[in-house]
Amino acid sequence: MKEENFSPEQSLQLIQTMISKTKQDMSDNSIYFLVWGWLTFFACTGQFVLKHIYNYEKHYLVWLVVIVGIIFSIYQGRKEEKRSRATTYIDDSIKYLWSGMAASFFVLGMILTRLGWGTVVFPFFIMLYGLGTFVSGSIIRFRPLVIGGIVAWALAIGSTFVSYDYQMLFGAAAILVSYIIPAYMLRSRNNIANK
Amino acid sequence: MTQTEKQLTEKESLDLIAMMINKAKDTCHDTGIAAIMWGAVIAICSLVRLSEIHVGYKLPFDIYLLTFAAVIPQIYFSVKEKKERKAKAYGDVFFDNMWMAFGICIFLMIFITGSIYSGLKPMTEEYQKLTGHSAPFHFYEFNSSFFLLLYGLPTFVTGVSMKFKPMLWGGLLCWVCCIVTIYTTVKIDLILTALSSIFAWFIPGLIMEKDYRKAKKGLAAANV
Amino acid sequence: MFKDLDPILHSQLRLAVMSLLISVKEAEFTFIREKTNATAGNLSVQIQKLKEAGYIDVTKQFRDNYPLTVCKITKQGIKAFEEYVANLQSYLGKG
Repeated sequence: MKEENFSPEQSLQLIQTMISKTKQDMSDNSIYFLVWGWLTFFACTGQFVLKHIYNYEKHYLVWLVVIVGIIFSIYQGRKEEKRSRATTYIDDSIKYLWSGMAASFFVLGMILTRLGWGTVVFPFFIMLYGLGTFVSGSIIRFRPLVIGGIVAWALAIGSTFVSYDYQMLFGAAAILVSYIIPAYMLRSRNNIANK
Repeated sequence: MTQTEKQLTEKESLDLIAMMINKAKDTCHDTGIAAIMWGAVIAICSLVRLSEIHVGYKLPFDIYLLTFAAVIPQIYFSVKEKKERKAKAYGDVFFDNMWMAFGICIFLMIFITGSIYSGLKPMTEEYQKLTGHSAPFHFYEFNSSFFLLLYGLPTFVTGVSMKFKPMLWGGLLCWVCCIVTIYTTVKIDLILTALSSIFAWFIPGLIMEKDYRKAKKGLAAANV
Repeated sequence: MFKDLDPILHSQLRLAVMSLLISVKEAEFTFIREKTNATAGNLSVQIQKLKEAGYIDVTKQFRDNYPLTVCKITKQGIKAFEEYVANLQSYLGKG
């Protein structure tokens, strides 16, 4: 047991962080899921259309849209930071998880740059998506996200059986099921809760 | 603590609250035993495989089967820990689910890399037949990279959320090694994998275990 | 002097219990007893008072046929605790 003597200010600070962290109501994160969900969904389907239907060589360029997502996330994150100084345990966990996810996608990108993007991209991406949504869903206790994560894992396995072109469609399906649909459900749940 | 309802001063109240918060924080210690075990298991698997390749012998069984065997003590540790856990910390659900998801993804990874490898095999064999050279590209050389990528994720996130630096750096090391292994041979990949598992799990596990024992001792002393 | 301080919280053992519960998601009765060094009887009474005030949730479970009391702070409890601390702060500020 620590018998340190805190100054009143130190004690108060400790107590206040504890209180704010414990508050259960968390900020609505569905906007991130929606923006990233739709961006990646259009990238997957767009790439399929460009490559499979128009035989466009540089079909992978559609993925440059993720830059929009990154800019949006930074902007939105800054805005939220200004608005609420206190973060809850849930907010913190989500933030740490997705920072880890972002780093993983970056490292995966580096592997695939060397390995060649044209062969084996999608099963790995879908698997990682699944991990992110599964864990997020269990943190905020929102079942559709958890189920979405499991479905994404199943689609990751399924995508190894089809050719590269159709893997894009598996990717789009995974995003639809594990991000977009749960995000709309989360949004409507939060709207009801706030009324 | 006295049980008489004596009147508290504001300062006493404040001190009491801060002390109890610290006491509660002190108990939520991980035993670290699982981290020690997995760190050791992965390091052993990688180094045995390395020796197989380097010396040129072959064990009668795949050394990586050891990882499946390690699942049994893991289940035992989890059940025991859950029983002994008298208070649930906020992060517990998060960590439990993240490491479970990680376990699932490891299996998926084995499946995905396996199926990609078997898909590419006929092509590389044909290349060798036609040109007489071994193919310039071997998918299995990237195996370690994919696994290191996955090792880094939950390790890093756990380290950041628990504000536990050894794991945070361990997770980052996994990713650095992952990027290095993209460019190195299988032998070096295996050395880096062993190194990563020691720094990401084995050593942080030892530190956690030490802290856990210290906290347990402190608790026993406080209750005398 | 302590007019504004919540009388339910302004008692040594109850305040200790609430401070523990604000730090963890949920805690078993034995955990709280260990941490506060209170007697089981006294602790039960204080936990009952906190429960009646709506500050904590108490659920009884069974594990291996042993009864298990699990306590958890409520939203109302967090709010009351927050106010209590804010009042403490204003007193300290004056003093």
